Amino acid sequence: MADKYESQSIISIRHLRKEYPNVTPLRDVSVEIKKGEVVSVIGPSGTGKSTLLRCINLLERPTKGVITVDGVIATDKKCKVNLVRKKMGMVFQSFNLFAHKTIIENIMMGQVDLLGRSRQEAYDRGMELLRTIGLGDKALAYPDELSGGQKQRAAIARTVAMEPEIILFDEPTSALDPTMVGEVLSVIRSLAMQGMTMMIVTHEMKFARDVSTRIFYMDQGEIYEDGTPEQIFEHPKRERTRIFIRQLKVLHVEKISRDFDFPAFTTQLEEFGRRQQLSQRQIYAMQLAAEEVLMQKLLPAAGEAGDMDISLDAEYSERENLAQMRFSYGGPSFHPFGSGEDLSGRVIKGMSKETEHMFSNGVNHFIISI
Amino acid sequence: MVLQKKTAFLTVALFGALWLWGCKSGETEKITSIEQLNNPAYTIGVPEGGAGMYMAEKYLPKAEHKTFSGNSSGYLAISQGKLDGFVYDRVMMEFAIASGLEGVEILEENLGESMDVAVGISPKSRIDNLKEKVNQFLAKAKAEGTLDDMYDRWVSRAEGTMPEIPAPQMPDCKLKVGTTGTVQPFSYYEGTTLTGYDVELIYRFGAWLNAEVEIKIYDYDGIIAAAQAGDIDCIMANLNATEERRKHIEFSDCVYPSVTAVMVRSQQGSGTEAGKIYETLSDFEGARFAALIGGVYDKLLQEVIADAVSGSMSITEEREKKVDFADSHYDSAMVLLVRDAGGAVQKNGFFAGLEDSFQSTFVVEGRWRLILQGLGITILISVFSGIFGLCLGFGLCMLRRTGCRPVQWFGAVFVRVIQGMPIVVFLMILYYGIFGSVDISEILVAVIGFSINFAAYSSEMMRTGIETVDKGQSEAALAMGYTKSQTFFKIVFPQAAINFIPVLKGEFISMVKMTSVVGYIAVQDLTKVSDIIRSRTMEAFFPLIVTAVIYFAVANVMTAALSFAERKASPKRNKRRIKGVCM
Repeated sequence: MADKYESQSIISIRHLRKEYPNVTPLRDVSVEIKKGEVVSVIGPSGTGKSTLLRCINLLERPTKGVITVDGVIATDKKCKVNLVRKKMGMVFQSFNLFAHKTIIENIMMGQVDLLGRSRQEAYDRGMELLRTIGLGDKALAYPDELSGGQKQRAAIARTVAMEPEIILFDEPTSALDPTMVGEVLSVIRSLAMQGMTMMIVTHEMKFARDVSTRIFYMDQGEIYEDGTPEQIFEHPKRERTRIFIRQLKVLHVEKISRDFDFPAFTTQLEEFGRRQQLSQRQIYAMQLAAEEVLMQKLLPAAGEAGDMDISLDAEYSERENLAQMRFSYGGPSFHPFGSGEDLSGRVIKGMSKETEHMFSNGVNHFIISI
Repeated sequence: MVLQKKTAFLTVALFGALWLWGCKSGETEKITSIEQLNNPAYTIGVPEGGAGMYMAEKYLPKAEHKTFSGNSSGYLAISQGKLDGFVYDRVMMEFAIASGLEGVEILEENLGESMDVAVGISPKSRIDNLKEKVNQFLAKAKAEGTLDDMYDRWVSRAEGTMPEIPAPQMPDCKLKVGTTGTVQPFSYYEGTTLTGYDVELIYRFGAWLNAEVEIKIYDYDGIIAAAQAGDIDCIMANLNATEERRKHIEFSDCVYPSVTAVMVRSQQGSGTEAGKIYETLSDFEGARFAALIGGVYDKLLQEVIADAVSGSMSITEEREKKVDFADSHYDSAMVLLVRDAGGAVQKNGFFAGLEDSFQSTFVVEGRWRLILQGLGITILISVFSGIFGLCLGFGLCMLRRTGCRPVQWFGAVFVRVIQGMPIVVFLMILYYGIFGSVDISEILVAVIGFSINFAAYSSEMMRTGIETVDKGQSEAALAMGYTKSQTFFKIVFPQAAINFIPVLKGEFISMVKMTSVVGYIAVQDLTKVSDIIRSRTMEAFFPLIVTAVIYFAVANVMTAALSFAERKASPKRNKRRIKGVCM
C-alpha cells in the first residue's frame, strides 16, 4: 500500500524550511504531489509561494527538510541536481527566454544539449509545439521582438519540449498585460487537459478554480489550507483563507477594555473606510455600530462580568461591496441586543443589512453586516 | 544669455592675456653671455642628470630650470622659443646645429669646468672586475692612440664611418651595454644601423674582452636604473661621471673630457623677415658663426667651403640635405655652395618642404626600414598583450566570481593595484625591479606588462558584462537541467560578450596607443623609432605627424578587425537561419 502511494507521488516534501538572515518565508511545509495533479498555490504576497516552488527545483537551497522528486532525494548533498531538474520544468514570471537565441533555438537548445536529440529532431519537435501554441511564424524571431504573452507561451513550449514529469509555474501571468493573460492561461489549460502534472503559483483565482484539481492556500510560511477547489473557494475552513478568498480588507483591534481610546478608533475606522473607498454612509454606519455595541453593550457588560477579551474586525469585501463589523468576546453566550429592543438595538437594526450571533467554544461572535 | 556673454568675455580676456604674455616672453633681449642667463626671468633647459644639469645648478642657480630627459626635446624646445637657454655638451650641440637645428646659436664661453665622460659600470654585472677591465682597456687604447683617433674621426672630422671590428669567434662571455641611440656623433642610427663613437668603443671593448656584445637602447633617465638593476653590464653613452650618478653606479677612468656650453636663441627673424642676406663668403664671419668657432662646425664649414672652391665636394647625401635645409633660412652664399656641389636645390614652399621632410624621414639611409621595424614591434606587443591580457582577464574575472572570499579579495586587490598605477611605472617596476636580474627580452617584459594591465581592465569589463546578463536566464537554464558551467558558457557568456566587446574594443585601441611608452624599457617601438629619427633630422613636426598617422592607421585597422568579431558575436546582425536543420 505504501509502495503504491510512493510510486504515485511525484514530489514529496517533508518539513521544508527556508530561512534568510532576516525573514523565514517557509516555516514548515510537508506535502505530497501525485502524478496528474494540477495544484494551484494561492495566497497573499510574501507568504512563501514562489519560495516553495524555487525550493522544489533547488534554485533555492532549503535550510531544512527533505524533498523527494520521483523517488530521488533531491536535497541529498550527493544528488546531481541538474538531473533532478530535468524532470521538472519551470516557467517563470519574467519568461527568461535566452535573449541571444531565436525562439526556435531557445526550444531546441535543451533538447539537443540535454536530451541528446539531433538538431533536426529538436527542430521538428519545437516547430510542432510552436504551431500548437500559435507561434509557428515566430520561430526565427528573437525574444525581444515578441509581446509578453507570446514570450510566455514560447517559454512554456521550451519547458514542454524537455518532456518533464511536472511543470512548475511561478506566477506565469503576473508580468503580463491584462489583455495577454488569456492566451497564456489557455495554453496552460490545454496542458492540464492533456494530463500534465503541474504546480501553479497564481493570483488568477477564477483560473485556479477552473483548472486545478487541488488548491494550496499558503499563508505565514506554511500550507495553511489544502483542499479541492470547491472546498477552498466555497467553504474555506479557516479564517485567513476566508478573508483571502473573499478578498476582504480587515481592520483588526483586540484587547478592547474600558480604557479603550474610542475617539482614536473612530478616526482609524474612518481612515480605513476612506482607503477602501466606502461611502460616507457606510463609514458612518460602521462607526455607529462600534459605538452602540462596544460602548453601550459590551463594555458595560464586561464591567460586570470581568475581562471579556473583546476584539473587533472591521471587514470590507470589495467583491460583494459588503462591510461587516465582527465582534468576538469571551464569557457566557451573550447577544448584545437579545434582551428586547432598546434604542441601540433599533439604531443597529435600522442601519444594518443583517445581524448574527454565534456562540462556540466559549467565544461569542456577533456580526453586523452593513 | 548674460552668463554666456560673461563667459565669452572672460575667454577673450584670458586668451588676450596669454597672447600678451607670449609676446612679452618673445621680446626678451638678446643673450650674449652666460651670466645674463643667471636670472629668474630666464628659463633654461637642462638635461637630466648629466654634466649640463650639474653645471647649470652650480653656475646658473637663479635661472628657472626645466629638465629634459632627451637632448632632442631640449633642442626643439629652444628652437621653438620655449627656452631662453639650453645647457648641454658643446660637441653635441654643434652637431645638432650642423644637422639643421635652426634659430639657435651657442655661446662662446664654456659653462664651468670640463667634466669626465666615462664608462658607467653596473654594480650587479656578472663579469668579474669589470671596472678594472674597462680601465685596462681604456689605458691601452689611450696609450695606443686609439681613443684620440676615434675622437678625431667621429667628433672633430665628423666622418661618421665605422671601422671594421671583427666580433670574437669564440666569445668567453656576454657583454650587455646600454647606450642612447639618439646622440650624434656618439651613439645614433644611420638607417637601421647603430653607429657612433660610443658604439665603436663598445665593439672595441667587446673584442678586447673577447665577449659577445649586446647593445640595448635607453633614454638617459632609464639607463642608470638599468645598470643599477643589472640589466646591462656597463653604459657607454658619453655619460658624464657626475657626483650624483656616482652614488648609484661606478665609473671607469675618463674616456675624454667634455665641456658644457649654453645654446641660446639667435635673433634672426626678429628683425626683417628674411634676416641678413649673406652675399659673399666673407659675410660668414659675422656674429652667427662666431659662436661656432673652436668646435666641429668651423672645421666642417672650412671643409665644405674648401670643397666648394675646389669643386670636388664629397659630402654625404645626408649632409647635403642638411646644408640644403640651411640654405633657405640662413644665407645665399650657402646656396651657391650647394648648387656647385649637388646642382639641384632651390626648394621652397610648403609642398617642397614636405617632400624634403618625407625624404629625410623615410628615404634617407633607408629609415623606412627602421619605422617598419618599430611598427612591427608595436603591433607585436599590442596583439600579444591583447590576446594574453584577454585570457588572463578572463581568469581574473572568474577568480572574482568564485564563492571563495579570499580569492575574490585577491582578484579585487590585484585589479585595483594595476588600475591605480601608471603603465609606465608598472613597466619600469617589472623591468628594473622584478625582472631586473633576469636575462629576459624587453619585448617580453613589455608584453607581460601590457598583458597584466589589459587583464585588469578587461576583467572588470567582463565582470560587468556578465553581471548585466539578467539572472533569470541562468535560472531558466539551470531549471532546464544545464549544469552551472554549461549555463555560464552557453547562456551567460555569449550574451556578456555582446555587452563587453564594444567597450573592450575601445580599451584595446587605447592600449595600442599606450604601448608608445615602451621606449622607457629599451624597446624600440614606433614612438622610440620616431624619436631616433627626430634626433637625426632635428625636425619635430613631420616625424611626429607621421607617427600619429601610423598609429591612427593601426588603431583603425584593429578596430575594424574587432568590429568584425563583434558582428560575429552579436546574433541579430547575422542572417536568420538555423544551422544543421532542414526547415
